[in-house]
Amino acid sequence: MADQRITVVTGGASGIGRGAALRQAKGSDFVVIADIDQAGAESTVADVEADGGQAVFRHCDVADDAQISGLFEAVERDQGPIDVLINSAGLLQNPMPIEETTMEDYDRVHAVNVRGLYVCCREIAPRMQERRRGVILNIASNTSLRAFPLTAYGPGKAAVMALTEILAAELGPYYVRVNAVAPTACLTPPLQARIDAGERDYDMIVANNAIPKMLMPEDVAEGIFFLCSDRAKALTGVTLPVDYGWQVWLSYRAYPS
Amino acid sequence: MAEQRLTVITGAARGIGETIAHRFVNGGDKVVIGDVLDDVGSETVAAIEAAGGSAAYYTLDVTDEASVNGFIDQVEQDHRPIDVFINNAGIMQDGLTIEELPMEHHDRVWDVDYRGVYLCCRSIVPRMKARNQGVIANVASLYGMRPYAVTAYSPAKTAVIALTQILAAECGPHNVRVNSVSPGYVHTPQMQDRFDRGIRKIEPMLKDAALGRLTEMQDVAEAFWFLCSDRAKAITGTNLPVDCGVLVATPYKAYPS
Repeated sequence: MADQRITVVTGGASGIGRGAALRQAKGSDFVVIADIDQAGAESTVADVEADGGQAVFRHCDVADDAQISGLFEAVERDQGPIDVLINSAGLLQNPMPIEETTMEDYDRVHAVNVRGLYVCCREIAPRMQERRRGVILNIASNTSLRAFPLTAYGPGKAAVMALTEILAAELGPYYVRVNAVAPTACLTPPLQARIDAGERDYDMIVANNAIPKMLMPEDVAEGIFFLCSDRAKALTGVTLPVDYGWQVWLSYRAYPS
Repeated sequence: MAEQRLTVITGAARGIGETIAHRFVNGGDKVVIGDVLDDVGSETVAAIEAAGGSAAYYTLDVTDEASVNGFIDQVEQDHRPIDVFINNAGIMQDGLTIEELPMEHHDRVWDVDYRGVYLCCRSIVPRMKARNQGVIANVASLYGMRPYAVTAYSPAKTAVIALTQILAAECGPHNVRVNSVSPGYVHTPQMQDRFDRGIRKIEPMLKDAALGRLTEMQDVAEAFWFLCSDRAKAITGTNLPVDCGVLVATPYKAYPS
């Protein structure tokens, strides 16, 4: 067997990041969970270990440039060269018109979802380029592809898709692949909280998908796992929707019948 | 273990389809090949069986409605309900301008590359809907995603991508998934033949790809295998490029430096 891959998952304490951490570890990667949520991350580590996998927690706020460079340095010093970086750290916003979106909210979403991801890529790229090896996987969103009343979150995720394509072209000559997944509403803790608070309707979310099922973090994790594997060695620059057909259903059902 | 899946692949006597057939057999499926190349197709089946796999060959002309309907009837009668249907049969066109390309050539390309897919879908969809189970996967093309100088082939493949999305929506409520893969710059025997005859040059193609190499047929087969597996149960209506990053590298490299 080849050397165990080292995979860093930002935002791996919960939601899609947690799903990805569990799936990568099950695929025998050594997983580093980088997050600001220590309790959540430790619980993910415990779940990975209970499943026979290996994971560690490292504190990292992707809104802080120094913490990102510090994270990669520490991981490569203690564990070894990073093979896979999964940029999953992200914040959600509530739907509202642009004038009601406070600039504090906008800046916070941008700092994590766009700038944080940018710095993570910026810090890992030279390391992977030098080694002529590596995979970067970004969590985009269905809001990368269609318009929603999320003026901070939506364009940020569109930017993630754009950056994915640019970096795939830029890093390709160094055999570094860069891809993204675009999940629709996925049953993560922030969505669950909104459902519990009566702000989102579970049945309506399911009815928005062509295949009427709720998207789960493990569904997204399977897409991520494939894209990060050697079986996808010819795939770079793609954004793979994982959405139970949400995207195609939207226009299909809008046509008068 | 679950019952052995039955996967049908059109045009799989040789080329990408043949490679997909081998991949699905290696994954444990029984594979039915439908093609007009009876001798080559029978040899492909013999090779699969010699290696311990399970396969069968049938004559299928995807441009002929009676042939398509009869094929699907016969396959289900002889084996079991079709679980996976891969529309791979296709022909390429010569690189001629719109006024140079004879309409007979145009019509032939559309007949096979689009109408053939449409006919096969039209025949298999009601069966899969009735069973509330099934996966359809279409071979689209990188040329269907951008306007390349092949005025019949490129729009026909764009139509395949559009049909894939529509059928994903239509079939989603019946738990039937429909996806496409868009291979780009694949090193097929036909492509090698073009290199050998000096019709295409390999060097510019290598330069066009972010990863600096041609896509191997096996890379395409792996993407089909993933999309048709239960691991992709949340993925429908997508078109997945497998192109070593040609899509992203083309605009990237065109920008003045």
